[in-house]
Amino acid sequence: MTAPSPSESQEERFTAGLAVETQEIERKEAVLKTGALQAAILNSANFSSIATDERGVIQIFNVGAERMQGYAAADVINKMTPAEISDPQELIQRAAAMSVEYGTLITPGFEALVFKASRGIEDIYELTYIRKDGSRFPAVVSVTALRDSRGVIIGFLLIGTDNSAHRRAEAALLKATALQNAIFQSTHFSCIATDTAGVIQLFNVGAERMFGFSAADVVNRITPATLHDPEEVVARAQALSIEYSRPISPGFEALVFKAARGIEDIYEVTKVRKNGERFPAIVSVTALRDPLGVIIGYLLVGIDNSARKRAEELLLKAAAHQAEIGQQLNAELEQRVGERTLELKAANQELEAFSYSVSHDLRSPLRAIDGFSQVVLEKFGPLLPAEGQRHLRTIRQSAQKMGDLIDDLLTFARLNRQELGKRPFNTTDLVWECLQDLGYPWSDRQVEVTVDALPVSVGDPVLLKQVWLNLISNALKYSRNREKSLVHIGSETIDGVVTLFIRDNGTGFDMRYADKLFGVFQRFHRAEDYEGTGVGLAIAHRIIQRHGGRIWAEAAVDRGATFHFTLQGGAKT
Amino acid sequence: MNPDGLVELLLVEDNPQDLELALLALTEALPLTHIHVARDGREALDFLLGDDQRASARTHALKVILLDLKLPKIDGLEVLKRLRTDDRTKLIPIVVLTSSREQRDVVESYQLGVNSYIVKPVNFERFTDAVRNILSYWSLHNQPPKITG
Repeated sequence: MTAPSPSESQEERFTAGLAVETQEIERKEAVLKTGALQAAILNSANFSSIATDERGVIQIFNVGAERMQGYAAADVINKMTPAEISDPQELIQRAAAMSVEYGTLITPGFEALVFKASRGIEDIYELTYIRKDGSRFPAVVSVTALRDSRGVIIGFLLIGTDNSAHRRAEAALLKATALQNAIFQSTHFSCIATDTAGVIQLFNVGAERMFGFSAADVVNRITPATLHDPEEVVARAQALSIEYSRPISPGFEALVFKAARGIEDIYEVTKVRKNGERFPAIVSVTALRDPLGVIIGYLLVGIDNSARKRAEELLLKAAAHQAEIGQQLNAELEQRVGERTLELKAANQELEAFSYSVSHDLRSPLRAIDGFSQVVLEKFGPLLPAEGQRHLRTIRQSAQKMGDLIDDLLTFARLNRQELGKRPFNTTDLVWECLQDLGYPWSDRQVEVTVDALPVSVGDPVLLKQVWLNLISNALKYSRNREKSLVHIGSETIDGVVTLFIRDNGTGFDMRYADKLFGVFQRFHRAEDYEGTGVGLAIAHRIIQRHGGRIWAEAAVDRGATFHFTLQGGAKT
Repeated sequence: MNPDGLVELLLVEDNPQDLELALLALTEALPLTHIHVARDGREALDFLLGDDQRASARTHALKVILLDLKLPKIDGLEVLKRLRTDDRTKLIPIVVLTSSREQRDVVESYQLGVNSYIVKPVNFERFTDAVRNILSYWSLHNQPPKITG
């Protein structure tokens, strides 16, 4: 190989390379032809034509090469080899592969690109070119050695085409094919394609499995309508006829009518297998169109819905079962509640009858005891010794006491049954009303009553008046031995809860017995010291309890007592 | 006023002790009283609404009826109801005199048209007082309507 002289023009060298020794005319024709070919090649914008000298230095870089590679001819001619605009990684691989193939070391440069061509082997390969801006594109390159008349290689010609579009198409095709294959090999979907008339053209593996037909049984033979429950097809045709107000035949037309109008159509149907077995399916129908949008067939993709239907049915059954159980429970509960209500009503009525007869019948004999004792005293008093008269008076007192006890017990018993008529009311007014009922201002003793401005209460005013009456009369009763009774009624807020209190300067009580304070018939004082039935505080306690509040007391022997209560829980435990 | 110039009243009471005490209290309160006694509801109705001519005459003479509520055979409320729905007796003053202080008895008695409701006190003096007040009120102070027919 000789080094090219820089003075030689490209054309001279190229022409020289293509020259053949023929007769003059033939030679002329040949030259003409080569000239035309040469011009065509050089001017083609769709091929990159790169000619090098025998060492690889670029000598020709045509328009196509300029366009594809982004270099100007001046950038590369006599400056670069094609190896420099190729992917170096690919060159290394190519060199390595050929080194193995030919058992000789091939350098991963220009030699790797032209080794085969230099041995007279036709060499067309794919290669990634790198543009001037660094971007890459796939190219198919054909390499030819340029030889002089003696066959000596004087350079190489690399003709390349941009392979990007082809590659993209290939990739797309590959994808489409893969997708199609996946769809048609799928055993879970039935894919049935038909021609415009509905005759099956394609019947995938899934369809074969689902229907029990082989593709050969159905392709070019039947329409998918045959695989549907005929009654459903009729019903569907009727429904569509009404919806679109035009007759639609109960066959294939009914299945694809909507899809043919570009309407997405997914519906549930019952399909029929080859053996007559039926199964529920969900079917999606699409029209297949050519590039101009003309319908060339239909694709019906179906999925067996049996499992879901079964699950649905099971769920429905379970729900129904549950509802039934629920109803049963409800009925039982209602019955029980009804029974209990009746029992309670009966119990209440019994109690009512009981207390009625207590109030009526127990009082009569007491009245007789008292009345006839009095009659004896009046009529026969002078005949009796003083002691006999005193005994009769004791009998009368006892009878009257028992009358009071009966009244208090009845009031107490009634508290549990009585409904609360809750409403807001003026507490201060109620307290003064009670004081007046109890004889305020007392002329026979010294009492100093202080009533603070009290907050509005919400509760049953009748029952709460009973509470205040009991508490105030207690305060008056147990402080009556003082020179001057002091009664203070006020309110305070304890832990955010409004609390009412009544304080006296009376005899008080021992806090050790505080827990017995509110029990029925619990008395802290001897009956002869302080009259009373021992029910008053129990009544107050019950009324407060029924309001959802609390009542408690603080006291010390001989140092007065304070009763606190709330109407809404809270405060002190 | 009857021909003898006595105040006439009807006492409807089944309990013998209560009856005796009531009679004691009444005679003590107003000596010039003629007290008719009925021992149950049936007797009271027969006395007031009997078919004979005398029933009507008796009824006309009455100043007041003292009526217990808890009575054998026909109870007090039923007696009250029948007396108030009968033209012959609907205007006669009736006072319920009972041991019951139950609200429903009070309310129902007034709804049926009673003129007064008195709870018998256990204490005999108070009982006597109550009876005396009833009598003086209804037989002396009260102006009854003129009953015709």
